[in-house]
Parts: sequence; structure tokens; C-alpha cells
Amino acid sequence: MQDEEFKAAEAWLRQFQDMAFDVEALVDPARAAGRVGAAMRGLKPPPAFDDAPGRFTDALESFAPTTPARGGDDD
Amino acid sequence: MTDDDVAGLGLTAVARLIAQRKVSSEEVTRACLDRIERLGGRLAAVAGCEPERALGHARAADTAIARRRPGERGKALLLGVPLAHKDMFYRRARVSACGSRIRKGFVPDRTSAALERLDTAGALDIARLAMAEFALGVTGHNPIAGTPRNPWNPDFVTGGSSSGSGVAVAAGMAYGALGSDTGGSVRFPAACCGVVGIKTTYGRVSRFGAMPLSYSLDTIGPLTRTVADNALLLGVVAGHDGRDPATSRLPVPDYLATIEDGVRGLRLGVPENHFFEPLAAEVRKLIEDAIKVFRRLGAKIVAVRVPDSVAATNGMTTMLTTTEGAALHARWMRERPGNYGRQTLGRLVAGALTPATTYLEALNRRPVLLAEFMAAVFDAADVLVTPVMMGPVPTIAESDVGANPGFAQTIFAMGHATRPFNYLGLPGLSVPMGFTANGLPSSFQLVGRPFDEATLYRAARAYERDTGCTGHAPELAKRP
Repeated sequence: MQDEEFKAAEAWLRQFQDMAFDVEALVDPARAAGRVGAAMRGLKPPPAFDDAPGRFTDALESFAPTTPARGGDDD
Repeated sequence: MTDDDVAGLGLTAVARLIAQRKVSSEEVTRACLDRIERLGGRLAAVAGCEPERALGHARAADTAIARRRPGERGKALLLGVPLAHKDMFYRRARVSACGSRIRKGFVPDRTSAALERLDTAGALDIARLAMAEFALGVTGHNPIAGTPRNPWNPDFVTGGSSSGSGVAVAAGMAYGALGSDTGGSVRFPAACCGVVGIKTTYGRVSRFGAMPLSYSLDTIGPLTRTVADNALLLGVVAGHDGRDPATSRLPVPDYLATIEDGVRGLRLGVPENHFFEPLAAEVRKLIEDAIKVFRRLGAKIVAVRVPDSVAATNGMTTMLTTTEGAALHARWMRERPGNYGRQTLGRLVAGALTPATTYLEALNRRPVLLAEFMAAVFDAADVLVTPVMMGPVPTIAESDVGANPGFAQTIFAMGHATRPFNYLGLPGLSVPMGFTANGLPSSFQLVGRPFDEATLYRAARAYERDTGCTGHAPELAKRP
């Protein structure tokens, strides 16, 4: 990360989050956030444009087993 | 029975003996308090304990048992059983410091839903247990409140963030403990301390009254010495709670009803990709041996290929955690940044730098990636087996990022096999499988379909019954 980018990150935090942290402390966090975003944007398919996100618990419930897993010593 | 005999019993066994009046709650509570006094400070595992108060509750439990009609047990499955919990489960009018300086002396106005349910079951709550600062940290390091030490060897880490919970259960200070898991914080201390720990399905246990870190990822689960103990405790704390809108209305099964059913015919998925790379050779050997046990017990071993997207979910989980954590902590980060540990503050600052679009995209992708994972894995398998940690338990010295900055990448990699399941919301059970060359425990993880903790317990119990994997206790916990 270049000096100008450090300053931009520091300024962004100060102006938009009202937080003050030294430039050095921002290096790894900023890089980490950037890497995560880049990796995620590489995933297929891209996020749906037309579908509103639902409640995640509902998504999980839709995959819950209605009967116990197969098998068992009595099988 | 000696104090060591009593403290060495499992939760299920001691609950039964107390109910049968073969041992009193006061006796077992004294045995636990003795260990807390003897080891709690040395292992830095206890954040707070009021022995006289605990003994008073134990005597009250003994009185209640003496007044019961023969055979009467009702809802009080845990009457008089001493438990202790991570210092982030609020109890009204009692301090919860959350491993921090900022909340030192914080007295909540509520009692957590999980503690309420344990209270209803008659359990005693005898101590507040150490934790990583604000539950951020996988090793157990805590420069603010003190770093707990592993009962198997005090030079080694306990795993975090439910560090004191792992120590207390392994060292016999309590018969079970609640922890929280946002990226591995139940499974790491369970694995490092050689006990059983479950990361529950997202929405299975109410988080009401538990310190939040990430509302999208936080889960609550017990750490115990045996598989059945874990199943018993989860059965008590699980269930819908209107005060936590994420909780599911799906009924809670009787986990103990099927726990002895064995694994014959069960399909155990072994991942071909991601979870076994990079993996230390000695951990790989232990897991391969465990898989052989499952095969011998009649499980069908099936190779599965997990979606490539899993690789991204470690970082996405960290990003969601730190972003939501930064939002929760924003006021203190502005007003009291000097009161945080350096590592904690650094992680929270990372969250404050996350673009909102990146955060929302990670959330919006969750159901899609869950569906992809379910089709790839659980069409072919009933349970997936993975490592918990990718290597042996590290020492406290080598994993101190302040003194050894190069270890930070290793710490990130520790979440390789745990964080994906926080992102996907799936249950993961950490089960001891033996010891690595350094003498520290190592565990595998069983992962299941959403809300199918019962199958995980059943598989783990079959392995435990065959191998006696939970029958070991650290020497240090025994009376000299």
C-alpha cells in the first residue's frame, strides 16, 4: 500500500467513522479487507439482482432433515 | 468416593448420582471448588467465583432433592450439578467482564436465555470463566485479563475464545460449560483441551443475553467431557426464543434417544479438497485412523468434493465478524481505544474499513453458497469429517503475535476448517481423537445438515464407545 493510500484510509476513518488510528495500524486490516472482497467477487454465480435476501434461518430450515439420517446398528 | 473420583465423573453420571442421593450436590460442588481454588489461578481459567454462594445453592438443591417424591425428576434434569460458563453469559446483577477492561465491572440488567434454561433444569452456575477479549481470538491469548494455560501442559495455548470453558471442563472444575462460536471459539478450546464441543446450527440456541460479536454468525454451544454430556446440555439450552429473532421454531429432538444407535450404514463424507490441505502429517494420521474406526463400525466412507467457494468463506467469516464487531464497538473505539488490547483493536479496525457493499455481498451470497454446499456434500453423505485444527496445539510463546508477528498468518489459517461452517450456519462437533507428539490433544470435526446435531452425536458416540477417546484426563488435574 502506498503512502497516499494509507492517508486515504486514515482520512476515511476520521471523516466517516470519526475514528483516529495511526497509518501503520491500518496496513494489514486494509489489505485483508481488500483480499476478502477480491476473492468473493471471483465466486460464481454472482449475487442475484432481482431476489431480496431472505432470513438465513429460513434457508437453513429448508435443508433440515425431516427424518433422521439413514443407517444405525439395527439396519 | 474421593474428591478426585467425584470431580472426574461425567455430567450425566453425576446428575444421576445426585438425583439418586448417592452423592450430594454439596459434595460435588466442593470438589469442583477445590479444583478451582487449586488450579483456577495457575491456569488463569476463572474470571470470578463466589464459593459460599455456590455452596449455598448446592445445599438448596440437596434440600429440594430430599423433598422430592420417589422417582420424581420433572424438568430438573441437572438439579444440583455444578456448571460454569464463559464470562459473556449475562446474569442479572452479576458482573460480566467479557475478558475486557472496557466491561470490567459491567453489571447486566438481564439473564441470558441459555442460563435461564439451565437454571430451570436446576444446574448450578459456580464460576465465570476466562475468555479472549470480547470473544475475538482463536488461541486464547488475552493481554488484558490474562492468558489461560492448557491443563495438559501449561506452556501451550488453550484455544479460544471460550478458553476458560475448555480448561475448566478438562481440569474438572465444572461438569460442563457454555461457550460461544463465531469462527471456531467452541471447537478450538475443545480441541486444544481434549474435550467435546459443539458449534450449533445457527438459530438453534438463543443468543439473548449473551455478549454479541456478530449477529450473523454467533452461535452458542456446550463443552463437556463426553458426547452424551454434550447432548444432554444442548437439549436443555436449545429452542426457540422470541427475544432472539434468529432462533428457529423447529422442534428440539431428544438427542439422547438416538445417541446409542451406532453408525452402521451411515454415510461418512471425507473431503477430497480444501479441508485436508495444508494439514500436519501427524494430525492427518490421527484422522485417517479415526476414519478407519468408523469404517470398521459399519459406516460407509464416501469421498466428496466440496465447492471451491469454501476456500473464500474463511476470509468472508472473518470480514463479517470484524465488520459487525466494529459496528457494535464503534463508540468505545472512538472514545476508549486505549482500553483495548492491540490485537483486538486491530481486528475491529479492519471491520471499520470494510466497504458496506462488500459486507452486504457476503451476507447475500450465504443462501446461495449454502445450497451449493448442501448439494455437493449432503446428497452423498450424512456427516462430513474434517480436522478442527490444521496442526498441533501451539505454545503460548510461539503464538504470541505481539512478540512473533509472523504467527498472524498461522492464526488466520487456524480457521481453515472451522470458519466455513459459521458462514454456512452448519453444526460442527469437535471430538477428541488422540494426541500429537507434543503430548497435546487433537480432534476431528463432524459436520452435519442444518439442525441435525442428533446425527453428529450418534456418530461421535459410536467412535467414543469404541475408542474411549474421552476417557483421558490431564495429570495436572489430579491431586498431587
